[in-house]
Amino acid sequence: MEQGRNSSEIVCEDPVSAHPELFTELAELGAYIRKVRSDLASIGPVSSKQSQIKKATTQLDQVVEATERAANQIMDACDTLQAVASDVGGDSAQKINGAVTTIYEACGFQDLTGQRIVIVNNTLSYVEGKLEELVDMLGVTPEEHGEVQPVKAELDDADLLNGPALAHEANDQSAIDRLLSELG
Amino acid sequence: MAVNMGMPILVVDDYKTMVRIISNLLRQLGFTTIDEATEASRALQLMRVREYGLVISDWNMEPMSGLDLLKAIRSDVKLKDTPFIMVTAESKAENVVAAKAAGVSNYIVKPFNAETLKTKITAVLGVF
Repeated sequence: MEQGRNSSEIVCEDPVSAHPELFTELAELGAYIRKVRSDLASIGPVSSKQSQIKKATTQLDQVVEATERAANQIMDACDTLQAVASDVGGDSAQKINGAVTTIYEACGFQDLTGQRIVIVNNTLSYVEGKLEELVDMLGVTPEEHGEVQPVKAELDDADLLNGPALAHEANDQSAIDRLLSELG
Repeated sequence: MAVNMGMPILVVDDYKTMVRIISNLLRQLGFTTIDEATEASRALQLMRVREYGLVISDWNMEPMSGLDLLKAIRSDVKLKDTPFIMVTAESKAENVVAAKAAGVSNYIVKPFNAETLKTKITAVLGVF
């Protein structure tokens, strides 16, 4: 208190003038939080079936299934080769068995890739969980996620680059053949 | 007309493993002259130097896709009649429609087997 002043007339410093850098920081922090909320809203509902993370983990699960099927097919074919080798006998049988053994060893890829994919999926699920917490914390509402992207009337070439479809969405060769013949 | 088993065939895929698989299958079918490209732009270069009786191409390649390659071939006066089979994981109906509109000769969806490859080549080139 300044000398001679009444105790009820406490003069406070103007905080903005006193600490301009503090308010600048707070303004920047506010702008950053608004941007993060906007970015989160643009991702779409984090935990819905349509989220990018869910799509990624589903694709990776299908990778594991597909590589397992392929590895089993390879090993089944190897079993056939070994049966032939036992009929052939001699040096040829040894060579065939040697090659089959190499193939079996290489098929171990499926196990290793599967394990790595599980790690990736677990990481993605962890990130998804953290994003959900962040969404809740920042109060991003479903309305802010925006409307569902309208279906385009015409697809351009970039829209056709989707890679392998999920098992339940894919057309098999006979469906493709039917469509081709319908198209003339 | 009998299929010339010595005619050059061009296999295009950015995965070398897939190029190897298709090339091996073609040799098993009896074709003897097979060129390979891992980029569509390279395939186009090869096509301007050598006349191919068939192009077998993947779709999902960058920067130039199999669809881009097909369109480039069909818009080239010298190349436009080259038979072109798309071998791709793209299995949605809109992909088939787009490929057909661009002039694809046939369409094989991955994964495929040797029998399917033979059937589709036969549909395009004739019995061999």
